[in-house]
Amino acid sequence: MKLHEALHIDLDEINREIKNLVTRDKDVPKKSLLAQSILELTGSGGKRLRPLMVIAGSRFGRKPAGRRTLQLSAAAEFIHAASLIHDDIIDDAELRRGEPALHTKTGILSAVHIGNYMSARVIELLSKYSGDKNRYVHDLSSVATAQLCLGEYQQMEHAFDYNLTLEQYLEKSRNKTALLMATCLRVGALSTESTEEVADLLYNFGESLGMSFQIQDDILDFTQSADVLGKPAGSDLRHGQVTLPVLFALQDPELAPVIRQIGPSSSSEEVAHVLELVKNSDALARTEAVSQDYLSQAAAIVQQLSSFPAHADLDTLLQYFAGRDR
Amino acid sequence: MNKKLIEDTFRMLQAEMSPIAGIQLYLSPAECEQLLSVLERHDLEYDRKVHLLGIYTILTVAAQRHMECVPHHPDLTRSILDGDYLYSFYLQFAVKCRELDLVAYLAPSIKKMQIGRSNGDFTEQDPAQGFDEFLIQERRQRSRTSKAI
Repeated sequence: MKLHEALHIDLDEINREIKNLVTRDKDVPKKSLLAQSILELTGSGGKRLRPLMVIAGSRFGRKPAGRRTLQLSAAAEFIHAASLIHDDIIDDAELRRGEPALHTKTGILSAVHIGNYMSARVIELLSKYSGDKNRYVHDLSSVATAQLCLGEYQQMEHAFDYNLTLEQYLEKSRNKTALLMATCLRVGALSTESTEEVADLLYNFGESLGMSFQIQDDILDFTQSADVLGKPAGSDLRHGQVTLPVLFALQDPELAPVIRQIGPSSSSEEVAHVLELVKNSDALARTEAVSQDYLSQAAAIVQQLSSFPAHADLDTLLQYFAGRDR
Repeated sequence: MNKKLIEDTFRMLQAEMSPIAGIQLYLSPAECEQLLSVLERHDLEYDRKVHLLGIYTILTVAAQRHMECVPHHPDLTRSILDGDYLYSFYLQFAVKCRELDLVAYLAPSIKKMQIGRSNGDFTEQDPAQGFDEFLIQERRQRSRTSKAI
């Protein structure tokens, strides 16, 4: 069963709302490159995890979910997609979800501004919710996006840095991935007038889930084929991203000197050799254990929210992130 | 007076921005001029002038950074990240300064600028005019409200 089905969420409704963000913008000509590029990107699949988390969060409020919740869920996907456009330029990635990356079709300068349009459109749309008590609607575009950028800066600063500490790795992962997910649950909850206390618990749940998600992503870079990943396996290592499996492998005195030799000019064979060494060590099992630990922290928060019927949805998210239903 | 305003603004922005981003926000006096003349035309408290010049500075530098994003630019990654960070910081800063009405007012024109630039229209855009129109509208609304009372 797919995640949205397990959560009883109408994905078509969310997809329509995402599409409407462009098609109902009277400032965007229907057949423009910008409109077509965004519709292709947002229509090319993706799990819609972030919109689903907004909707799941909204089930902890005191009012039923309405138009605002739906718009926030579409906004979450738009912000995520905009970040992917810019990520692909930074990573010099040619493919996104098996299709040519947007900047390879439009050119870099145009793609940067298409991503900017998506962010600006979200701000325009959500600005109609004025007043102090609605300030949270901008959390996705402000705090969460700023943290995402900080995670990218940290990643750039520590490329091929084999002295990266575990704390630095965790902070980078929190900024880059976990806090946007956490914010999705929180704004969803606030959109239906949850208490601040409940919204904060959901934020913490989303943060733990997001950390587990990023760590699993790091593992997949070692274990999945290029077909499944939609990019070459071992991309992280090739681009100098020192992920958790690498950090654990570096603790092995025999592996460390070989890993430390990987740099920007290493050959594919050298990278492939290190990939195999890491895979055959205990690094992936230790990484999996850290991921499980974050899931346990998330499960403990579900317990605190057990008086809400919607706590079952958090369990569903947990199971999905644990990989049982993938 | 303007020198102090510019210095206070940059100092405040530097204190608010994350050191991780490592951005040095700066506009030349000439680049600030358009907004400074707008601020002089309106009766504003000093702190508000700092906030508005701060928002103007962030928006201007964000747009400049993203205009640098051309193939083979040696600092392409940094230019993309700086622009991205500044656009999100713009909103954070505006929320903190309680200038969300200004954000709502500027949103359509910022969006239209991004549409134009994605389509190869690189006409120089100065947001100062938008600030001026917003402040005029705000003054009118206040005067209407006070008359009604």
